[in-house]
Amino acid sequence: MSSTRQKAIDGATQNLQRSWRLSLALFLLLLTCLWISRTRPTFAQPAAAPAIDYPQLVDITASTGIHFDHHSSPEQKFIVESMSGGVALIDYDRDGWPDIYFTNAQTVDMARQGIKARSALFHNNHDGTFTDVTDKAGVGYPCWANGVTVGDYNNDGWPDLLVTCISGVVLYRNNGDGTFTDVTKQAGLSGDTLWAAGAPFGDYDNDGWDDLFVSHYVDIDLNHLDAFGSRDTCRYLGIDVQCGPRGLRGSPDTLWHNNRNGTFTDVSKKAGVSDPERRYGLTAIWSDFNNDGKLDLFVANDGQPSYLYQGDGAGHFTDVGFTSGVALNANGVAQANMGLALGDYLHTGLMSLFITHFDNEYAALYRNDGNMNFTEVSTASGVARGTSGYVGWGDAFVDFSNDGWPDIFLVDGHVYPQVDALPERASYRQPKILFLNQRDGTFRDIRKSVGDAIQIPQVSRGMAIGDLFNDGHLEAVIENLSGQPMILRPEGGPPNHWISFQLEGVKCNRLALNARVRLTAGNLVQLGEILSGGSYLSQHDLRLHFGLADHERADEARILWPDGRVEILKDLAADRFYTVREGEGVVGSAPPHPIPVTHP
Amino acid sequence: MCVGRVAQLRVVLVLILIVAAGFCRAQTAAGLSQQRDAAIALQQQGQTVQAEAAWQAILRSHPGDAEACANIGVLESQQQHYPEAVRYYRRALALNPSMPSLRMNLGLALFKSGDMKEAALVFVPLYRRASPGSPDAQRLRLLIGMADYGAGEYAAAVPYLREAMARDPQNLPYRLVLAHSCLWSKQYQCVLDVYHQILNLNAESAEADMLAGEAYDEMRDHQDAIQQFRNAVKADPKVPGVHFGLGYLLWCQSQFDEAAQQFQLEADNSPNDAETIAYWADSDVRLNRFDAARPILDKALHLNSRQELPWLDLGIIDAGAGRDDDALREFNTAARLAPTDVQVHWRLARLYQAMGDHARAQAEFAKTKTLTQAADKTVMEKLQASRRSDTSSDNANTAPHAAAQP
Repeated sequence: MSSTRQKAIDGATQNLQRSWRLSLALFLLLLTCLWISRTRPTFAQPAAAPAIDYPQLVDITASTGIHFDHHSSPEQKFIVESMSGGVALIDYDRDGWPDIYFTNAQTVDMARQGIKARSALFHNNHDGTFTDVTDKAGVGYPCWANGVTVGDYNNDGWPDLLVTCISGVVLYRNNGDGTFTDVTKQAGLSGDTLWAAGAPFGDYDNDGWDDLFVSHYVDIDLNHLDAFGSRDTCRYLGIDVQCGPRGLRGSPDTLWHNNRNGTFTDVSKKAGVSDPERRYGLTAIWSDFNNDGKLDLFVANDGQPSYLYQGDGAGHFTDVGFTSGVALNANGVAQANMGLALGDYLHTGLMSLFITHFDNEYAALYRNDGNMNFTEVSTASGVARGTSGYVGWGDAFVDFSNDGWPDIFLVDGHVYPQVDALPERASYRQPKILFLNQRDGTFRDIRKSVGDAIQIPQVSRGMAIGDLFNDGHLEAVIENLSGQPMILRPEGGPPNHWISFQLEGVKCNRLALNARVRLTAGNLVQLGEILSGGSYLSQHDLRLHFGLADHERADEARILWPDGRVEILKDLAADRFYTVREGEGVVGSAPPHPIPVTHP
Repeated sequence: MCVGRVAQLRVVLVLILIVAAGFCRAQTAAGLSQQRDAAIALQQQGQTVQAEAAWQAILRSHPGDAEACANIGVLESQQQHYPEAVRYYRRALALNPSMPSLRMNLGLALFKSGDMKEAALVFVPLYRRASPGSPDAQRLRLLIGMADYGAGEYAAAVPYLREAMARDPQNLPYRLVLAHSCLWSKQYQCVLDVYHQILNLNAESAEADMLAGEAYDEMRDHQDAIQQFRNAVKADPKVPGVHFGLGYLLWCQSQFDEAAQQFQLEADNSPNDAETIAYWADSDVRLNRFDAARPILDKALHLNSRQELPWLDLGIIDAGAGRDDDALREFNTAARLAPTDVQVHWRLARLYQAMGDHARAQAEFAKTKTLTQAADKTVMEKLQASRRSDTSSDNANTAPHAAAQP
């Protein structure tokens, strides 16, 4: 969401340039008292876009058997009611098939009446359908839930769930038997009572254990919420709306060091990531942005400069947001900064950033130029124009067509239902957007060429990418703030090859978070990284998927484990799932499982 | 006895003098009347200069003649010597405050001399004395509204113009002034109401479309603002500023390609408009069309070298081409012209950093951060002030304000 939206309300516009002209025009008009009626000419319609060879993104939600309703109040009178909706792809039972966890949130009325919101875990049945296993798993009622990430805090190989809440976090330990246990208190995380948003796991000190960063948003008291439309900062386009974040006090962030005994210690200040300015933290992500082998941390702050903390590998960080060029956009403006996507869209071996923003802005693409230097190329790349006017949330670099070049997918939805009452304005429900990577640093908006499903307006929030059906094609799972989620499956398109890797750390953290694979197949040289968190409040599949276009083999997969070890795999057959254990190479390989999906 | 005779002679002399004085006065009055008649005749014949000379002659002999002062005011006004007219009207008013039409003439002279604020002060008492339904009242409504508008007192102008429009719905030019007054007094719904009234009159006006577009823009409704300016372009593509307005809105929405086209069209209408040229070039820069932008930037600076934007854009182009020294000079020029523009310092910082001048880079990054924080702080301060204001108004026993009525 955006405090930028409030800037729009508060900020002085740059209209003077135009207004004096109007004054002049009016005075001339008055002096001459001329009134001339004119006939308006007709204008030609723009030409249709050329067709492309790309899969159609088909809505298969109904056929999956997933029934999940995210709670939302009709009017969204409070900011706490408009931010939730994270989704995680987690293979919680380690059967090789991604399962799905949706967070749920109360409304203020529900909370005041003591009614809880049920989050839900859906088990993948391997046949295109899912079964609700929430109750058995014990993950239905963590809290007023915002987002979710996956990590393995106790290094037992079973992925755990971390849910971010309006008041702190909930850590669910995966018991390995299909159940989870809330270990928040035992882990020492219960002291966090702030509005938590992003919470990626990452082993910043390279001790082989997942640490945890939690970004916090605004400081609110559910019993004393600013009344709807009560301030200047609670108005938008002249109508009353929910208050915040602008005008509300921000909250500091927290870095939890893993003590390797099931507990964490707050090291935020010592590490230099405590956010003393209390910026409105949303999504955060760990990665090695300058390829120096040391983990860095990016924190998206709503309407305020983003942090890019450069790690020294020894537990200390320096904010290089400004010097690296990512704190502000190219024009020196802080944007809404909601969802984060990381990807090597240029095949340069560097991870660039794509960040979703508010409707009076545009989604921003920060090209990684190396040496901790980024250039905002949103306009030049073509993504600015296609995203202006939309409130963007979950996002990802994703190769739906398996052509080996990551495209950009993002989901949208406004925060104010009231905008629908204004004729011909931005609508509350908004379509999703897909940009085709044109392999020259530019993207083409192809949302209208990939089927009707993504054009269906919804109020989307979280989004996760993964191969749900192990058939070599990536699906998108979208959680909507109101109503049912949407699952999009690519169908048709070019018959490209692909390859997938599941990495298991031995010396490094077991889930191999932040391990990278540099894959070479002919002229395609791609980079993938296993990430905890990202998108918006969401978790992508932890497996790395690469499209190979027409290459039937991968020449080389160069694995850079987070502890610095490099492992090189040669001549891998395409269209297979590989399991690679650190130091042991490929320990498993499986073919795809074509699944007939019944459309509704 | 001698004393008695002298006294008698004195009495006689006094009587003679009295009689003589009376004779002379009668002779003078007759002359003034003739002079006045002559002056009026000249004035009626349109012999302005001669008439004024005649009145001036009267004024020389009769400095307290209010009529002469008033007529000289009229004649000065007819010659468009409004400050002189004002001076004579004021003198006449001092001599005879009840002279009919004098205040109206004074107000008109002030209005025409551009002293709108003083004009409104003169018109308002006249308006209050006029019968509401009279033609005079309607004229005064318009005059006060226009005077307030001209004085930049837009909020004050609105009720007068609104009332005048209610009594004269067909008067489209003044309706536009009302819309503009609403816009500048931030009464955006009022702008849109007037705009729709204009549409209801079956009139199409580029100016009205532009005003509605401005109102939508102020309400942050960019889509409707753009649509209104598109309508304006269709209605009259030659109205000054219409392409600029549309281009600027598109520019604000990062639609630089179409914005550039609109700025170019505006430049066709107004080839020497430096601002238009600057935005046209900037749109090209944003699209990375550096080669196309360069000559346009040169022209923009040729027209007005004190614009920040072209210097900034030249810096961007030169920095991108590795001409760091040129870029540095250009960014620094931009920074001098607009010291609080975050973007300039942001880009300067990035350039210094790329050049390895880390000390200067850090200084510029610090400025960038400070300016960014200042913007945030301003909003927070506004909010806190608003809260304080709310609290105090909640607690205070405030009397209701009388609504401003025309």
